[in-house]
Amino acid sequence: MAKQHILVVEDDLGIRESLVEVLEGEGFIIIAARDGFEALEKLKQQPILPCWILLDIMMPRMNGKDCLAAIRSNPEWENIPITFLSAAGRIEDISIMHKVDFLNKPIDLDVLLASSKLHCC
Amino acid sequence: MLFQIIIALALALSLIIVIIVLRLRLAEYKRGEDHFRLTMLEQNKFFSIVSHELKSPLTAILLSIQNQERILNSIELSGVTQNKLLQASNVISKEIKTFASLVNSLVDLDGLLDISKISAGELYIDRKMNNLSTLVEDIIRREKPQLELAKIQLEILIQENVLVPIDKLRIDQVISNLLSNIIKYAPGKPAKLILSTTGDMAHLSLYDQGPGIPLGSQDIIFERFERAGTTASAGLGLGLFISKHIVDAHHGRIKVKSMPGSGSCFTIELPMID
Repeated sequence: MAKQHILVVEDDLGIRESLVEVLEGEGFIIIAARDGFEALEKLKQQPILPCWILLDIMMPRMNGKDCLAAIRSNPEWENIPITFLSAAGRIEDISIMHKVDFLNKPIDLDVLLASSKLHCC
Repeated sequence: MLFQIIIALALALSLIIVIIVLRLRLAEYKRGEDHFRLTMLEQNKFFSIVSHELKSPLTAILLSIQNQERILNSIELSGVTQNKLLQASNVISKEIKTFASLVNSLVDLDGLLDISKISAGELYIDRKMNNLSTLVEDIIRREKPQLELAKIQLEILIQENVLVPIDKLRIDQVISNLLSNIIKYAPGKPAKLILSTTGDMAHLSLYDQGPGIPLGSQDIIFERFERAGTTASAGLGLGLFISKHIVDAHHGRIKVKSMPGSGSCFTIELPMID
């Protein structure tokens, strides 16, 4: 079975690298982006769509909410499951509207892996 | 007659002085209150920045150390070396989790913000007709990984298309809080969620088989900074206090029935007519 792709969008290098390491260890191919703009660019270049997008909220250039709106407005990407990485610990209007889950920082490894199984298996 | 006029004038003058003094005092009090609110807002902004800055390195450290534990568990090393490395990893992981809990509870920004709004009578509720059944289903779907990890088998009985005038975001906050309490306090035990209606009221009940709430605490559990007190868990104990105020603002009711040692049932009742 071909390896599935996950898009990780996070501006913090430490978090981005640790997420990549953990998820690659689980057998996924990880596409990493530093902000919303880079995420959209990488999505456009992807021949295989990711099975899941992990999206930080507070990022420079384009934040997670604007990136989410851009992804959901594209018919090709509108059904990709998205999980917000949140430091605030509160669900927001946009998350309910677009049925987006959220993982609270600091993220627990077991919760992360359970979520990856939920979305990608 | 002149004496009476003088007395009347003196009384009128005293009354005017009293009113002026009271008005000045009120203005002073309001200035103080405004200053207090401004200080709260500044503090909350500061907490927000601190929280974000602390959580970033914590997230990277926690993920890396937990990943290291997984790798150590999966590779072949001499028994002693593996045990020592695992022991060291476990200590770091445990301490990081404790630190993360402290950061979460000390900088419970949203909770503090809500508390300051409740104290100032400014908890704004935007009620619109919404499908509570769909909202509850969405919340359960969102919490599924955490429920599975906590090994909680959640039985769900949801009446379809229960339409209620609610602030969707705020009621989401209340239900999520009740579910996260079950995850925190009643892991490994079955739980049940029932959404039903009687007359003009919608009832959402969450049953768990956790440790229950001591009889003496059941009356005060919805007060500020109160927790069930049977299990150690992180948090400032703001969740149920905020939940009660949100439900009250919907003209609804939140209540608990609990038997220590057997479990609890939290029920939210919301009027279906605006």
